Amino acid sequence: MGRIPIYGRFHAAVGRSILRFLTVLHELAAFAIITLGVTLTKFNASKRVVHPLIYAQIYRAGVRLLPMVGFLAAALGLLIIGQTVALLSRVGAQEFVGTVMVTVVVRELGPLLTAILVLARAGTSNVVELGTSRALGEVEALESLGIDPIHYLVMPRVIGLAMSVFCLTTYLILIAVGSGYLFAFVQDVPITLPAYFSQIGDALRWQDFALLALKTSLFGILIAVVNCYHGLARPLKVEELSDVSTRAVVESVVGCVLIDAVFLVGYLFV
Amino acid sequence: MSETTVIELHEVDIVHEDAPSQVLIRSVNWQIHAGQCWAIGGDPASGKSSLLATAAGLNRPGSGTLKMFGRALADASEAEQVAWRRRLGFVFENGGRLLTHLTVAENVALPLEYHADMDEATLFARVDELLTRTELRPYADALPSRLSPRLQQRVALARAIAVPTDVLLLDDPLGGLGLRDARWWLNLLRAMQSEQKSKGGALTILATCGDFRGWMGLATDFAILQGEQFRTLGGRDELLASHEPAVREFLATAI
Repeated sequence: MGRIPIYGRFHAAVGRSILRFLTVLHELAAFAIITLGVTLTKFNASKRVVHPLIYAQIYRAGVRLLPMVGFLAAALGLLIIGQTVALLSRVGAQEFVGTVMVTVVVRELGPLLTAILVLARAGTSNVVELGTSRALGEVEALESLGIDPIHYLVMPRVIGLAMSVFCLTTYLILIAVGSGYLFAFVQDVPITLPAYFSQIGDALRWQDFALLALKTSLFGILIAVVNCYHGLARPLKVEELSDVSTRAVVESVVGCVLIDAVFLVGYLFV
Repeated sequence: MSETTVIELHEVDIVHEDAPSQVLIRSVNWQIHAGQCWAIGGDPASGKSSLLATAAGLNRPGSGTLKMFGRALADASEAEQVAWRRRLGFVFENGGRLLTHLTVAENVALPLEYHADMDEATLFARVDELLTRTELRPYADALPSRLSPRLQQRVALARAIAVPTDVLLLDDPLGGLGLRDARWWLNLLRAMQSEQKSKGGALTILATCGDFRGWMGLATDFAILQGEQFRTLGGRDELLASHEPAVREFLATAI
């Protein structure tokens, strides 16, 4: 049998990667649709068991991340205003400080940064938890008890993460806006508090609120679905955990950026 | 004894749960009637656990027809399958696959909380009753990892019978147990059968084992797994009368 030329091997490797990517995409889409179906049909079923699991996820991925989000939001406000004030002062356009805050923090950086924080905190731990559950046979144990594993393990994580990303983004935006003004005040930028908030108010449209809620929820859903899928897709061995969780993080980040790109088109019409 | 068929396998290939293309046992024909107690002997890795999981509807058969309570599993809706599972109690081997993040009491309460809409007082009373029956009350608030595998298996039994069951599937429950613990299990199963009978029902038991020694007193029917084949051996008398070396080996009358 003749050796495959180098360019042939390269093509084969690229083809394999594309096929693998399409397979994962197909399975992820199927998993997301099943999860959506279970969420819609069973949201209120066995709520004494399932709803506390949703609260636990909100506590873990949301409430416990609040100090970290507060710290980052304060830093973000200072950085953005610090950088832009110097720039805008040079061209005498300080009155656009509020507009910059809305464009940068509310529409782009806030949701994405929060999603990445939630991913780092809850995403990888979900892969490890669910991978271990699967490897220990707990998923089959749930099925033997007539408990739907998607309802018990996945749905609480999806709802919990969607709500967490949304709420944390809201807090992040509020704190960043506040700390931004504080920095402007300290730097003697000639802008009053009412003027600052009026700039922000003018820059905001009602669509911003709707798109923010939709985008952050989608980020949370995507992170939860990707991580739960990788945790549950097959029984994981201990040595596979780091590879699988890395893959889940990369896919989540890429997915969030793609969602963000779609929303960017939406913002063009706002 | 009632002749109602609870589970029926017709030409079923038993496959590995993680590798559906790998057939472990071929063409299983098996009818399980209400009130029977089956002991299924097999060597390690002979496919005992997969056979039991398939009979419970947890593993899809590679081919053939699996019927539960008179209806083919393939034709059943998800709601029907969930209703069947509630009538089956499954105890997995090696510690029973308890949920590691829940305490013993929470593990036992889980199926009750999930399926039965009962008030908290009734739930606590039922869990307490189950823990008392399985002698696990002192461990109610402990995590399963703090318990020995023999106690974990008892928790799994309490969890399996929390919701009233018609069929109990036990994956090697006596494996690795001492004589006292084995007797505890057999006495409990016997008592459960009598209770069900007094209520007008019939508890069906399917148990896998490495040899038949412990089950000679309780089991009514015997089967073995050998070389990818499932063979029913009949009742106690047929088993004792058999001179087949493989069967004598599973009786383990001499060491």
